[in-house]
Amino acid sequence: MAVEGITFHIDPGETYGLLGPNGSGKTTTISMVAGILRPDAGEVRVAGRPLTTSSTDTKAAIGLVPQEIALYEDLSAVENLKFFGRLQGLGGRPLATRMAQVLDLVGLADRARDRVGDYSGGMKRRANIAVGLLHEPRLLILDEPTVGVDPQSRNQILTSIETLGGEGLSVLYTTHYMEEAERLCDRIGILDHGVLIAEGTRRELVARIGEHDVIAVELAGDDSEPEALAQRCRALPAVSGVRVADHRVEVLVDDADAVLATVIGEAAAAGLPVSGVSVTEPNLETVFLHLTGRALRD
Amino acid sequence: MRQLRLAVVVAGADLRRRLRNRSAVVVAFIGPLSLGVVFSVLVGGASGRTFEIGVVDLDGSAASTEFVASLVAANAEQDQVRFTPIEGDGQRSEARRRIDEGDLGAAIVLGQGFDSIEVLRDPEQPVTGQVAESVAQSIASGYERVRVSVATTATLGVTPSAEVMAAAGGAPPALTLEDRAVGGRELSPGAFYGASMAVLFLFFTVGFAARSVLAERQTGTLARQLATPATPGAILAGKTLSVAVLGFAGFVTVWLVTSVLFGSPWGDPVAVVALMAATVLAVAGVATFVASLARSERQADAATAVTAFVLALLGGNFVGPNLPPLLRRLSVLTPNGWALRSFTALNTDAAGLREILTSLGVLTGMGVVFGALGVVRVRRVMLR
Repeated sequence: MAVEGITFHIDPGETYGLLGPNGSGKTTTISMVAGILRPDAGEVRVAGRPLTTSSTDTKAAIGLVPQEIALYEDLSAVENLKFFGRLQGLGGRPLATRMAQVLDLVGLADRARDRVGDYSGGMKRRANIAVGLLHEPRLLILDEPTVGVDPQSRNQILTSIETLGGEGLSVLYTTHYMEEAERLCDRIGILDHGVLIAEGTRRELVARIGEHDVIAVELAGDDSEPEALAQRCRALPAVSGVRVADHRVEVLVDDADAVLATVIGEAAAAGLPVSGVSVTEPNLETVFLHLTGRALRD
Repeated sequence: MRQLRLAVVVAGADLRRRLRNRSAVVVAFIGPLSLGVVFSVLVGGASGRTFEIGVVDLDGSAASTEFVASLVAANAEQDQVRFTPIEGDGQRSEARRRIDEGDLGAAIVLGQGFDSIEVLRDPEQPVTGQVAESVAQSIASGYERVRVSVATTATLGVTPSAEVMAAAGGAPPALTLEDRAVGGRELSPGAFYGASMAVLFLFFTVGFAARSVLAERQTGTLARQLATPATPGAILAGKTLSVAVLGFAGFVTVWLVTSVLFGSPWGDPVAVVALMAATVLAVAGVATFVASLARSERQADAATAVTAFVLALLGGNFVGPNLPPLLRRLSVLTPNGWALRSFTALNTDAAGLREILTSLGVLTGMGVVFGALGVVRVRRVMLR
């Protein structure tokens, strides 16, 4: 898939998500960022240095976890790690130490000497990630690392990535699972047909399309007066709108976390007993649908 | 230097994987060895058989009887040709019958008064027929030489000696066939077909380097390697190095096994090793180029197999050292032809290192030219 005019940056310790449906250009983009594909025009800089397909030193700053299980199935996890570690210039005790660390991180220490071909799908995915982390890269590129993974392994993978982000590693993460992007990514770029059509934090993206958080307050009792609460909420400066349906009052705000306590307080001040409260935030699926006119997994 | 070290890392891992793969071991070691042995037993056995030729004496004179007896006696000690006198009434018919029944491959019929020599043949044993034809021509020319000598001396008014007169009135000199190879040693079928099959299987062994690039492009391991400090050139060099080592090891194994177990010496060891190295280089170059033309591993497999067998047919791998004239001309276009010609020369002690320098140069040149073209194409595939 050809891509065009894509510009983004990732700060140290930041997890940047490239979100887009299959065939949107995610893998092409990360292939160029990893120095595997040569861009026709433009420049990739990693750790302040320009990157080309022959930039051997700059490439050492990158850890790639391809979409495929890019491991030799006839070798054990240890043998795969040794091979790719040596290609990264590691050897001897430092390599052995790092191998032990990454195997521990992905939870494969007890199966390290088994052939990768004998692993389950989730274990292969975790071994795939371990190889990308082995040489302590400054930028970790993960191309849809949870495809075809069981929920337990998936959660383990996501937790590992959260840990790494917390340790200062920059992460470029591609996915078409919006819940993964929402959980992991500090900023998100939305790719469609090879073009970066929007970029920002989740909140910035939501704000860009004019969607709001919704605080829904359920009032107790048949004689409740939802309109009274609606009146009080409409007077709040942070509220964009209020909808009333039966005993339910829906308050539209930009940031539900900031206004939630105030809305509950207004109900209490009006003497209205509350039986339930829920908060709905517009998700990236909504954003993507709004921006492209189609669902993320189309 | 760093890229060279990385190439060795790639080669080491590739070699480890190949040796764990039974099919690679079969292709590199068991295949050429077993087929080499089978071919040498089948074809070598044929070349080592005895040609059975009958001799019919229709002249029946004392001289012709003595000639037949001396022909049989003179060749009784060697295994290649056995002459059997056909006696009794209807000798010619008897000879024909025994040829038809397969007891004899041919028969030489000496006419009455030695005025003619005829050869009866079995169409199914053309080589025996050719041997009989050669013997008959030798008999005729020997007899004619003596007669001309007598006639010439008589014309000059000189009285021929008693020995010459006896020869002119009697049989031609007894004919003894000698089995002597050019260069001093007979070609060993084990050595020839061992080398022949090793060259054929090299295509499958060393061709794996370029094919594995296509395969690893699919699995993602190539992308992962390209994302490391290793350059595409270093990765390809490592893969080529691993299969070259494997191919060379297979070649050496065939050499050692046929030499030690079957007593088939290949010739000067230094020259043999140099020729093996040049052959591996040439085949690696051609196989890399062929595989580089393919779009997928499956296509590359098919192209490599077709190329291997076409070059083997043209190069004489299946025919043996005595190629027909057309094949001899075509074989110089193939690495197989150059390699086998030199292996044959080394095997018969007709050549040493110096005599095969031209072959070494041609094979190296083929390897470099085709290899360079293949590397350029494969590198493009890697970065596509």
